[in-house]
Amino acid sequence: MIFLTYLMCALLLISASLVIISKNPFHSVLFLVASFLSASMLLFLFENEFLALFFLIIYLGAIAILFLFVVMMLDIKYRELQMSRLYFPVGVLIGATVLIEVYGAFLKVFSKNTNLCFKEHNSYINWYDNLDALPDVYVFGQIFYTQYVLQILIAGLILYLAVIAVAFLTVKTSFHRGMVKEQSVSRQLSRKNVL
Amino acid sequence: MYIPLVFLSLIGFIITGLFGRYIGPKGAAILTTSCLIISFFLSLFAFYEVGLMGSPVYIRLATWVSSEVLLINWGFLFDSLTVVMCIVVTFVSSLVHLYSIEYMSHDPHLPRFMSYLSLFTFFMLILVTADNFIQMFLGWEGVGLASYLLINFWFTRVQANKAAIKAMIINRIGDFCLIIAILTMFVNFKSVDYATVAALAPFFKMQTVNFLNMDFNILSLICIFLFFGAVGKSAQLGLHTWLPDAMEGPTPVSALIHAATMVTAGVFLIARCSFLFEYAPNSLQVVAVLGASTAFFASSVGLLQNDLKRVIAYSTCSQLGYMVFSCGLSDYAVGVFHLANHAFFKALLFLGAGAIIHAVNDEQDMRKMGGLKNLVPFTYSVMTIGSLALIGFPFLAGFYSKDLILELAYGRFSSFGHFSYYLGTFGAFLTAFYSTRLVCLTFLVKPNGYKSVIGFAHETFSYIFIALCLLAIPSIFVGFYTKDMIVGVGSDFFGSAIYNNPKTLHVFDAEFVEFLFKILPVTLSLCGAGLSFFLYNFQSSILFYFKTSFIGRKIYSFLNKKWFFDKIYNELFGQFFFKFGYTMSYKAIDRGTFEIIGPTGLSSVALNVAHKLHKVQTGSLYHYTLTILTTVAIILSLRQCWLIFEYNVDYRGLILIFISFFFILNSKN
Amino acid sequence: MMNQELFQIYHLKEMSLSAELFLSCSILQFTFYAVSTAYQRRAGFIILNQQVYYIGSLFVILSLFLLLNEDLLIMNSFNSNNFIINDYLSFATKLLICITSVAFLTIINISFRDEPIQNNFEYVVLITISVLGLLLLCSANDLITAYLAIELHSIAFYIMSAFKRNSSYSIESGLKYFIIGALSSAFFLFGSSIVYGCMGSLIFDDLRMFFSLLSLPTQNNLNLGSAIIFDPSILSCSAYLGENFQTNLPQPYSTTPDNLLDWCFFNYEVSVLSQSFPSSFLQASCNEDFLVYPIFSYFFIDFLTSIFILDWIINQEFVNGLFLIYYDVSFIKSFSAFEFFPSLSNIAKTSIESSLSIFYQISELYQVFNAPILTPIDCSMVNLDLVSIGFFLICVSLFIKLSIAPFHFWSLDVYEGSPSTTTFFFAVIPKISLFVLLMRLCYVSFYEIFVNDFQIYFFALAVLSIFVGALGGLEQRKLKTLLAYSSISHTGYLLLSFSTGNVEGILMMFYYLAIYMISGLSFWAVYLFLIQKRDIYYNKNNKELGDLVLLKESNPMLAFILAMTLFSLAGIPPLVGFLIKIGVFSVAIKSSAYLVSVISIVLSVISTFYYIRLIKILYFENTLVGKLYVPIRTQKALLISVLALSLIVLCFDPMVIYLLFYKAIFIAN
Repeated sequence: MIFLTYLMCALLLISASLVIISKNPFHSVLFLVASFLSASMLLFLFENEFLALFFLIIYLGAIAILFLFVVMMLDIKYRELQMSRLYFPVGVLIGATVLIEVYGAFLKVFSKNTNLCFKEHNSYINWYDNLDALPDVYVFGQIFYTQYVLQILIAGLILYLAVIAVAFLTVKTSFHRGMVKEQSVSRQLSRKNVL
Repeated sequence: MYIPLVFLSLIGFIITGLFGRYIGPKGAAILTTSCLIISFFLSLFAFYEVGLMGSPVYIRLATWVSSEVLLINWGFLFDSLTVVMCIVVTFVSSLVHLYSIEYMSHDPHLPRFMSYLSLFTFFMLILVTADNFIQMFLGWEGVGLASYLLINFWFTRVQANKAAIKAMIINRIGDFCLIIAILTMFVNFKSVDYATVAALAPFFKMQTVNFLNMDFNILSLICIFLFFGAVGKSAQLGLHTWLPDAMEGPTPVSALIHAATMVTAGVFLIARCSFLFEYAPNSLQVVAVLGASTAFFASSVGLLQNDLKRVIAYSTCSQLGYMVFSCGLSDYAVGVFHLANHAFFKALLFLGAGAIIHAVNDEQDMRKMGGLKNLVPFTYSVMTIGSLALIGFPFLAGFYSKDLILELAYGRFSSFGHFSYYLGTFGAFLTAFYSTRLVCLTFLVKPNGYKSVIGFAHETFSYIFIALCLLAIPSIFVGFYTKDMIVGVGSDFFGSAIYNNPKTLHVFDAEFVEFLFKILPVTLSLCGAGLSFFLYNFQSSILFYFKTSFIGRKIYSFLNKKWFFDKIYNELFGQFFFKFGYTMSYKAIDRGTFEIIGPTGLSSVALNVAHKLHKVQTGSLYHYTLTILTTVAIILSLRQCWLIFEYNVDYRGLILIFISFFFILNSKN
Repeated sequence: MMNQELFQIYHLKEMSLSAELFLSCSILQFTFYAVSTAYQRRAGFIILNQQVYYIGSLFVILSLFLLLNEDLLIMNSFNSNNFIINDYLSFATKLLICITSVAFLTIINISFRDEPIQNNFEYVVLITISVLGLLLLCSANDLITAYLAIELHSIAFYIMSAFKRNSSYSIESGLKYFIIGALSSAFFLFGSSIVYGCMGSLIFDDLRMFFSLLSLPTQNNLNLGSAIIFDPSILSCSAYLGENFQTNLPQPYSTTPDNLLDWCFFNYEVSVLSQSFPSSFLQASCNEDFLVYPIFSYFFIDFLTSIFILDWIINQEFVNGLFLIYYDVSFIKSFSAFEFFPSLSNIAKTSIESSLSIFYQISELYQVFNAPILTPIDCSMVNLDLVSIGFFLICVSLFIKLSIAPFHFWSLDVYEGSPSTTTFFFAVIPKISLFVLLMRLCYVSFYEIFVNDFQIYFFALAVLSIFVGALGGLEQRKLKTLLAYSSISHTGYLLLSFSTGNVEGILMMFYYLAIYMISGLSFWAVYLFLIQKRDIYYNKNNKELGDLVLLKESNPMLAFILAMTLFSLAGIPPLVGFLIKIGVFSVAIKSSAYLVSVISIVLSVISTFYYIRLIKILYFENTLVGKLYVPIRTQKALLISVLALSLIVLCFDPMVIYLLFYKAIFIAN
């Protein structure tokens, strides 16, 4: 169990770093897919099935596919440009600094694994969870739509905004003559000040 | 009666100065001269009341400065010393005003001249009637200013400019020392009144002041600085170089300022501060030495000057030396007496010289005159009277004062006294020599100038004539008539004005000096006069051979160049400070360092930094996100370091180091 | 929550955000209307240009009315499970945002005649949605709500800045903003997840209670956490003990309590407990106030062990108090609340030592459990490192959004590339709600972490922002980038007064924000009004410095208004910008940040250069003719003149806005 957790974490880290490192954009997207997968596996391990499946459907099924399509359509070449030789070591240095900071802080706060102390004693068992547990979806439903209603509504507004935004940015009907670069022969032939 | 005495000349100055254009030269002349004449009569009245009747007058007008301890009043003190000076000043000044109506009648700027003369008189009167040091200093500075204006009257003339600036600067050095004296006095006595300081002086006899880890006797310190102030003003040895150059001004100016009044301000100061000097015997010795050296030096230089006015100027310098060393030997009364006498005949000499110069069409070189005796007889007689008074011809004015000085000098029976005596006597010999030389070369020898010039020399009956007349009379008689009153044994004319320590009284010792030493000065001066008369009139060839021999040339150039004082001052001090001021303080410091720290440096730093900031905006997202992540990492790690080293490191030093590092990188790009 | 049952009928009222509710519904309706009208090919694609702005401003005005008519006392009790807070601060800031948005919409209201071709009703939709997001952000009491509100308005911003689809500048700026915004959201989420992981709750109130209880000052400067101290007699206490233990048996929870205190104190039994003791006990024994300290330990005690400990401890002789121990059986996170109570009568210096010694004894018992032994050097029993990192990351995210240096790089490119109206909106309006969030974060919830650890860095960042803003603008020729630099420097001042850590700082900050918004409105209004009368094909909208030349010829009133605004931005009296700058600096100096204040004052002086240069270009440039502009409509002219006049008037009577925030701050704290 714990081994699986570590395995998934390692996979997640490796694929995430490979997303940035690899030169071929295809490989980046594929490693992104791999990282999403390992994240969802992690969620499985944390007994959160709904969220895991949610990840799979939304992230993998929609977003990663979108990325793949975009990368395919845009025909991005190999990333040859390497602006400076220093980027990689400096980046590693900075990342390592932040990592060491956060790791050190983690160590201090969660200094003892409380689960390990009480092997001799009665370990703590939450009987109520064992007797009466709800599936994930039920939990989400019970909490989301009662306590976190406002957040759901705001999230809905965000999605709505996204729809508007996309529609605005991409739709080019024949109305938007001024926004699209088209030729107007009559305008080219006429005098300057006359439309 | 006393306030108008002081302020009438101010009124004359203001009206003539502001409205001179409207009242014209005639109006200016009438106004100022009448103001001065009224002042003279008022001063006669003051002399009667204060001097003859013996009741000094203290007037306190208003408060000038009143700030905690410092209390300075506008106050006037008329005691015997003051009224003597007042009479001298107003008399000579009114006669000079009268004289210059005629002398400067061809000058289009006559109103300005008259206003400056009145201004000078006003400041001089403030100087002598002040009852505290600050007001006296006001007058002191004022006469310096007026002398600058007057010497520089013909301001388009470069030599006059130079001379005026030189006078101002050398006076300034003296003023600086005087200021130090006054300030030291204030710090220790907590007052600048004459009265208070005089009352407190005996209690500070033993007190010392510590400066730069050295202890100085406070009274000596104050007196030395006061004396150096007087040195600057009275053209003693060391700060004397301005006096002959000040002859660039018109002759009435020389008569007023450099004969009678301004240069005597120094002597007046020493006499006034007798209550301080008497308690500081060391400074008195310095005074005596310097005065005696001046007397000798100036007369030796005056031997071989060729300009008419310069000779008279050097003789002034030398006589000032007499006055100063007599004060230095604690004979303040005699010094003041000589001052009064000297004022008369020196003004007479100057005005007469002016008349001569006017007569020979502005020719000032003595060697180009001659034979004017029958052409301008009145001037000749007047000049002779003046010269005879100067050399101390028996029973004329100068005899009484000058001989008394020398007697008293010998009668001191100290090394300083004897030193002064010998130098003074020899100086008298030289004085007689060059005075007679002047008279001979100007009037008695065969004419040496252009015929068209000398031929047209004539006299006129005019203001000049009146002025010379009015000056000749006191030159003859004032010594005899006032001798007993002012310097007579046991007279209390200078009641509390001059303080004499009983330890230094030597009148009676001087009375019984050996006859040889009493008669020596007169003999020597008569010999000198006779020698010069003989040489210049009859045997000028001897002089010629002497002058052109090797030694003679050396002596001639040495004396003519005023013992090379001017050259030393110019090269050693003048050039050095000039160069220093330009290269060092102007270029390197003022325009260099301060500018770089100040406006120029700051603006260039700002622009450089702005440019660099502009370059940082590359437009590339990588750089932006890199900066963001770097900052996060830096702050987190700094916080961690802070947590570890919290109590060991003072972060302010680090900040300062950081900022200075930044500035060092950015400066001077 | 336990009170949920009572108000089930009024679920809608629980939203307590009637203004936002109305706004969102109206936006939806309006979109439908606009889409159905503007996209009809049949009707020829009706251009809705001017009415959309009117409709938008109508919406905002109506929501403003709703806002004004809400009764805050009632509102504050319906707060949606503590996610929304509706106190006076949020009311004041929402008021300000609505008013400025109405002004904004009025200013950018351009008729079809002047700005053809764009049938962009989506702009107004985006604006209103972002206003909605800002309003939600102002009243957010929870990190999730805050994040969602930030995302809402940020996405609207991204689109607004990419609005001109045929200009590559615009698209590039939108993309850059989007990527940087995504980065900031990433930081925000990372930070809040760390905070949740450590604290267990994201609600600001809970965090505040936790931290305030954690670090009460004790006598020996130790933050032991807290301990409830009672002094009952033994017998009655055991009775009480028994009672309380039984009543303290936990109830099963089906959902996690979202209140951290519920974790600790277990349904307010503490207050029950303290009230259940007869007061005579307390008064008999305590001479001082008794202190309430919850202590959190990392070790786990179960029921039996606790009784054992209790018996053991009661039998100790140096204790004459009792321990009341209860614990929470049902917690999920392996926490336990362990409180023990040293005696009250030892409440002098020794009580802490006695409690410490007791604690050591107890912890010795737990050697077998590998319990950590705390020494006095670890001040706090809760290690705050990780929470600080989380807090800091959230702050970094907000700094990125606020464009504080060194996170500011995006704002320069984005401000330059976006269309002018969008830049107007960015520069003026969102800052206030972000600062409200920052204030709630730093001052309400994480105050101790902010003050102890991060204040220095906030100061450093503020100074850096002022530095970048001041020096970067010196070289700019484009007006929009110049305004971007000036807004960076103003944000620096805001952060400076924010990071002082005291009430006046916050007050000054809000006041500065209000004035900044007014002057920003005025400046941008002038900027937008200057539409040049030109061919429509050359309508380059990004103005340079040269485009403002000689405005005083073509439109003197606008030039005057612009000059007043620039003076206010530069901080020159007698305009109100001076007062606010003085306020900021005085607040900084009062909190002893001397070096910081001096540096920022110097930099503020440097930054006045580019404001004054603009004024010089307006008035004193040497060219012959200026440019010709389209005239402005009356309503806009009215608005802008009101704004400019308010800048001047507010200097004489600044209390109007001041008082608005005064109450807000004190209630919020």
